[in-house]
Amino acid sequence: MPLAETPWEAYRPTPQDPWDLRKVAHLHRRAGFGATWAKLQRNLKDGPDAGVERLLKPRAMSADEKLILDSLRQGVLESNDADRLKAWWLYRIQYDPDTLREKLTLFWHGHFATSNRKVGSISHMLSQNELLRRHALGPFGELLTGIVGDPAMLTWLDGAGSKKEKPNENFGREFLELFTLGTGHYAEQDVREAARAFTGWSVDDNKGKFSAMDHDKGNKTFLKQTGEWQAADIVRITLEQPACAEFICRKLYRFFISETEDPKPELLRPLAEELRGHSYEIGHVVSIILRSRHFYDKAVCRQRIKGPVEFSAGLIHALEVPRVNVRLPALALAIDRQGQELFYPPTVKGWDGGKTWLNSTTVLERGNWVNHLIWGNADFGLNPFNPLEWAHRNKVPTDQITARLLELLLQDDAGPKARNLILEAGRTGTADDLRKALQRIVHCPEFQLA
Amino acid sequence: MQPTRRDLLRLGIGSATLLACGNVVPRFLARSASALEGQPLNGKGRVLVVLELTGGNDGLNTVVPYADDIYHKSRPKLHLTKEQVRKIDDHIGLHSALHAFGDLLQAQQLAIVQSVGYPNPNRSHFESMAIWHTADLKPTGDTPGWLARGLDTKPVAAGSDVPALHVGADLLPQALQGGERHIPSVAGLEQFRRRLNVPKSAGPDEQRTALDQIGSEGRGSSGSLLQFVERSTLLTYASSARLESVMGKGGGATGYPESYGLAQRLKLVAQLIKAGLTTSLYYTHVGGFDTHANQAGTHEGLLREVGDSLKAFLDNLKKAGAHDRVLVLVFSEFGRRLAENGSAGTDHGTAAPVFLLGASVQPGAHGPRPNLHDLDSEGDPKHAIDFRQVYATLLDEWLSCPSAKVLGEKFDRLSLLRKV
Repeated sequence: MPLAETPWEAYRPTPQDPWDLRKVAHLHRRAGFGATWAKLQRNLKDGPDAGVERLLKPRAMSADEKLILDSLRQGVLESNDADRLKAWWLYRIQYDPDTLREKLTLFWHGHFATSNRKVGSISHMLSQNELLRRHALGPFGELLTGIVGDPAMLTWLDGAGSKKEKPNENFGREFLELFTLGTGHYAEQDVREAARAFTGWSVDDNKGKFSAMDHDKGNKTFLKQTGEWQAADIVRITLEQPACAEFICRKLYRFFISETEDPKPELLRPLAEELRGHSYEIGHVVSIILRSRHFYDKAVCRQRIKGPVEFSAGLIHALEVPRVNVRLPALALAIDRQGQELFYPPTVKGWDGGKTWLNSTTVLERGNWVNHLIWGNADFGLNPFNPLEWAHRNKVPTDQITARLLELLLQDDAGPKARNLILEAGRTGTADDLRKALQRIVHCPEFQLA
Repeated sequence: MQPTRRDLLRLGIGSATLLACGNVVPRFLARSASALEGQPLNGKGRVLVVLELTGGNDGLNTVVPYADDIYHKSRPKLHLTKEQVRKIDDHIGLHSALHAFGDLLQAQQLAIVQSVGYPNPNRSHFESMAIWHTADLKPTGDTPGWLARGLDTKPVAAGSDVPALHVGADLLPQALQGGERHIPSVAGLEQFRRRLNVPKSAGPDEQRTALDQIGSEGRGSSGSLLQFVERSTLLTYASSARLESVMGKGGGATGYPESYGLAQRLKLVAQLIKAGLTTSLYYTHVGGFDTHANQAGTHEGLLREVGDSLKAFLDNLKKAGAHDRVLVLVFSEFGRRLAENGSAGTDHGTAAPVFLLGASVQPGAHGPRPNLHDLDSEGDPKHAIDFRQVYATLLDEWLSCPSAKVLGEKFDRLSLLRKV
């Protein structure tokens, strides 16, 4: 079916449905971690195609940026410190020009959820993260192949040391249940046969190594196909299943569009067909989603609860908190306490997301953290946020600062009472009153929604 | 009884919230609010503490069939010998790391229910856990939890606290989801304070009032995500105020091992019970039981944490005279396969023991031992007792909830509790 006849048809601005600030901000919340005032204004002017193109083809990193990133990375490896590993990734999330790739890396981290609690190796966690980033938008098969031999994964799901005599089922089961097909699309026998096909791997010299001697060379019947299957065959046969494309598209839908409703078949099927028809190229499907009419439908706006990384890193990014005032380890700690400890997902299923992000403890953590960001906190080394400096950088006249901050963070989505209370607080234009206005903005329930 | 506005004003969430709510206080908040107002009832009722062992606890190395040859043959690396267990009888014994359970058994405070499971066992962690949480063999993500359904059958007394508390930083367990009332999660009292951080010179009181008004504009339509955010926020502010009011009360506990997270969470539960909260249900969990590789040391450490922490908890309650109104349920989503795998670990299995602890239990081992000579097609022990029989017993005899209504059908109860 041509996409033009589905809800995935590309969005075109019309007088009734114009390209407006709400849509630009929506695009950046979903495809990245929010955007600065300048970026919002530029993409508002240039239109939807230019905005999506910039996300798909970001500018290259400058030599200076590369240098900083390399030295941070080196520091992670030398210190062998999980906090520095988290800080390194949060740095990329904040400052890497390729925000869509970072967003998808976070998606894959939740998909192939691996915890250092068991892996116990900072360098393996780092290289898995780089694997996820490298293949984030490419063919899913290449990512899966990388995951099969990934040292962190080999340790995490006991693929390492699973030998022909007594195969360990852990990886085989989660491969089918959580990584590719979902329950209901395979039988217990497929788990056992996959486990046999995955035997023979170990971690050697920080790399995944396959040893034919430990591998079960016998015939296996996996998803009704029989042969002397190895890991690559399991990947190939699994990708042949239509259920695999649907499983991945359902998760992408949840991530980019809506957590509240499962996609209807008429939405899911064309997307899954596109994925299978384009060698499982993730970027192809993501590009369709981000350009589509359905993506910009008002009914899907603010239909996701922001995850802790989106919430916290996103606010710092949008407010352009100066680099010297961003304490990445403190940011990482805040995100941990809000329930998303990077590199330590709670289980192999990753973070459930959606409503589960909010419970009374995490609601307090979110609130307390933004209050620290706005008013400062000596323990975290945080200076109070300076709204006048923000206004100066963005050439916003003093009497418009509150209104522009409101547009930056909430567009038109605040309630009328809240709107009045916000504008009233910022009227005098002093730094403290603007902080009060900002605190009111981020305390709007709508601000929790992406 | 609906709480009066005066009751609500004592909540500490700011009168502005209530003014903003208009004349009609949202029903959900009224309930939680009445539950959280300044001078609550002094709780003297029964309490159930549920401890989930996440990941699939190896039941066969917890309650060990040490006299069975098949057990030893199937587990050349992991088997525990007669000398390595604390004997319960001539057939079974407790893992030595559970010496505290042994002491509790001697003190008649431990009941072991063997071979607990359900028909057509599911070996997925997440699906099997959902089955245990919902007491439904085909649950979806929206199926309400069995405890939430139980709580929904109970009337709400004016001035009572939240009916249940989840103690932990992770997400609310499905067992407590989907009921009429929102259940808060608390990781620790210190983290449970609301800090606005507004300097004195900038007018913190006025700001608090404004923030409360913004939080309760109530724009979310019924069932929407926005409404969920609004409710979570208001319940959080109310719970935070209530727990701040009991800080410093009910303390004075010793004997909790410092290094165990579980011990610290149970210490908080004991503190809240002793402080007089009317909450009748606490839920917490310990993870790490998915021991596919090099199981021995990991499993031993986990069992020690479970045993020592629960012992400290029960001792503490006994000292405070509250032990006869507290019952603990310990369960896991499944046991593990009889045969060990090639990584000195065990893969996902089926039936496993469930534990009940407290002064009100019928002590000793209940239910048949796992029959290792009659395994299912995957090599796992078959279940003999349906977990819903355990739930039915607790619902009817401890929580006074009609089990047939909560579970959707009648299950035979077990003689696990003393008649009082």
